[in-house]
Amino acid sequence: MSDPDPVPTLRAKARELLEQGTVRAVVGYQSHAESGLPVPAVITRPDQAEALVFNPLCAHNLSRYVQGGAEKPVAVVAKACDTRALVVMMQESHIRREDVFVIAMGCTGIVDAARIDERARAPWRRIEAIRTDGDAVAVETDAGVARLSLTEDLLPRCVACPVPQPVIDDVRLGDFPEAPPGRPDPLAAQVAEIEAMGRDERRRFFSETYNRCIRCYACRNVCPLCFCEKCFADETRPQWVPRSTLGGGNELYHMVRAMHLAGRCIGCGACERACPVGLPLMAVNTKMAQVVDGMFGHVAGVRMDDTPPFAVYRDADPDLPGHGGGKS
Amino acid sequence: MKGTPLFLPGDRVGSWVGALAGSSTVFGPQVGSSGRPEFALVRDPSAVDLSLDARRASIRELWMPQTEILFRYRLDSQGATLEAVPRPEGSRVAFGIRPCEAAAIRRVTHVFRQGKHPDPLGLEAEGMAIVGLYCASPRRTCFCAQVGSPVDMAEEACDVLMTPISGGHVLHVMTDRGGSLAGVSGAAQATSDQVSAAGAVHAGLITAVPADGAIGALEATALEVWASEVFADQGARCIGCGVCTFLCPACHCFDILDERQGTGGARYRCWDSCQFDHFTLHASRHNPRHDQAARLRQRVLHKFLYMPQEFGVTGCTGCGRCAELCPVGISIRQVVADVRAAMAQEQGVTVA
Repeated sequence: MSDPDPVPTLRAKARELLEQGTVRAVVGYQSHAESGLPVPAVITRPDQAEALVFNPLCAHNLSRYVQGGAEKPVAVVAKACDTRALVVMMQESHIRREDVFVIAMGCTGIVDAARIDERARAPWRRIEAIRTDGDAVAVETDAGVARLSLTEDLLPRCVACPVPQPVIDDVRLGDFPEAPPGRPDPLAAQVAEIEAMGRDERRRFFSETYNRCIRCYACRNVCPLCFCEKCFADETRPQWVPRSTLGGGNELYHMVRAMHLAGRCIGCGACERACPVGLPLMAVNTKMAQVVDGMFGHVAGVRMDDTPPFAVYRDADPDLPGHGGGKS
Repeated sequence: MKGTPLFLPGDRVGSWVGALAGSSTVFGPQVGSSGRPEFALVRDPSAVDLSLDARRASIRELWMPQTEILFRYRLDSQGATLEAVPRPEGSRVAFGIRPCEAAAIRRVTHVFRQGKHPDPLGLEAEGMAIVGLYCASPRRTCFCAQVGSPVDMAEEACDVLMTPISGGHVLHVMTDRGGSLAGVSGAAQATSDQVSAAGAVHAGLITAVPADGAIGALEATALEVWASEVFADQGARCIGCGVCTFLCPACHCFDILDERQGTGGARYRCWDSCQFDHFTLHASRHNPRHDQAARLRQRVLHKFLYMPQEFGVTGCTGCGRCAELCPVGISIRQVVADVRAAMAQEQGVTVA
């Protein structure tokens, strides 16, 4: 069943859910009043549903907004990949399935908004319209049309999209690709590149990377799966991580966060996109997902009936070679 | 534009920076280790590149490092021994920062000057000489001309203003300190054509920033805007990170912490953010700013209500970094514009 423009259906669905009191809020995308870029919106009144949009610039993983304290039940507009975060939250008993109405949106990839700057004729201030025709995305700005491609200009995590079908949904709108696109994964390539470095070079790469961190915690706060009520990084008694940026505090913060996301990170890349200083945060997350997959055969959030590896103990759990732990 | 205009050919910028670096610590736009433009300590004057757009980089580091050790201490059976950490000495020059950034740096000194005990750490911003660089064009989220005028900001804050024109820069010397800085540039008196070219650049920027969204200090009491739904609406999507405040050239909140290792340690100052959920968390666990809407309101009112009330200037100069880099697209300009619109509507209704 093909639905070339699912936005009217999306608006009608959101309106209906709010009117009937099925949900207390709908988390979706709306166009920013100034830039016209899609931004997250939490709407609670039926009349606000008319402002909802969906287009190939909708990068945010909105499952972030159904974390703990959010009003429930809540409907969330989710791309297939975003549903994986909801699944992990449910597997970890952070949210209940019945509290979330999943509006799954068909998606063939999200384009990198930074490319608009490169393709518009002049510095643009406002997007007037976003038109998709097959592989082509025409972003009409006040400074001319920026033509982007759904193969050439994708966000890194979309290039090899491993999960084009939503894992859970209550309604599906739009067209969903049947299978992954089968392109090489640039994130895996980045991991391979870092692994190919010598020990000293890799050490230098990580310290230079984390030296630039300004500890704004955008990576953590935008992450759908960083939902601890109190983050270790904010603890002061005891202070697990130095708040100072002079010593190893930055690195420690990022490494511990990556460990806390091992087997949980669904690779949405929200952290990396949120980073104001452009740290390549997905490299470590991608590596961590590879390790967990290799050792435990677990890919986070792709099956509702999975048990997260952190939640089970098996006698046969493998150890990293050379890290024998208690077993021999 | 005040000051005697001079002209400095483009190829003389490097030697000027070199001359300044001979007697001062100079910070300027360079390509950082990551390949991105940043403001950093100038070690090699030829690395300073005024064509770089470093308007995304934080300039707070120039006057308030993110982490600053105040003193070190050692603990033994006799008690504690304190060891002073020397303050940076000598004159410092911020080279090539923008009028909005310059004005922001100067305005925060009001905060550190107030009361009986001015804070010398905050007043380092005052001691820093500024060679401003006027913008040829705005970035997407820039709104300097909507909260004031970049020309006024340059006059308010720069010791020297450089305006890019064909072949080089026109230098407007604003202060005596600026006179000394420009004195080592080798710049000659500008021709009237050069002066009018600079004037066109000044006006061009103001025209390029849309005038329709003009905002300024909120003319209200805190109580009148406190319950505005705008804060709740925008706060609903705020994720509570520190991007807006840490990148802001006028934000200046900090925390003081001890870091101890074994029997010694250091007390240091580091940036803090009113957008963090624990910023106002009391020991009792009560948090007077209990949600993100309240924290967003604080950021906006601090800049557009409390600073104007206390010091007669907004705490925002429209650099637009917060809006450009906010992970969820919150624009302080839009928030203020919406609050003002809501106020106007409310007053309209009352009158009718």
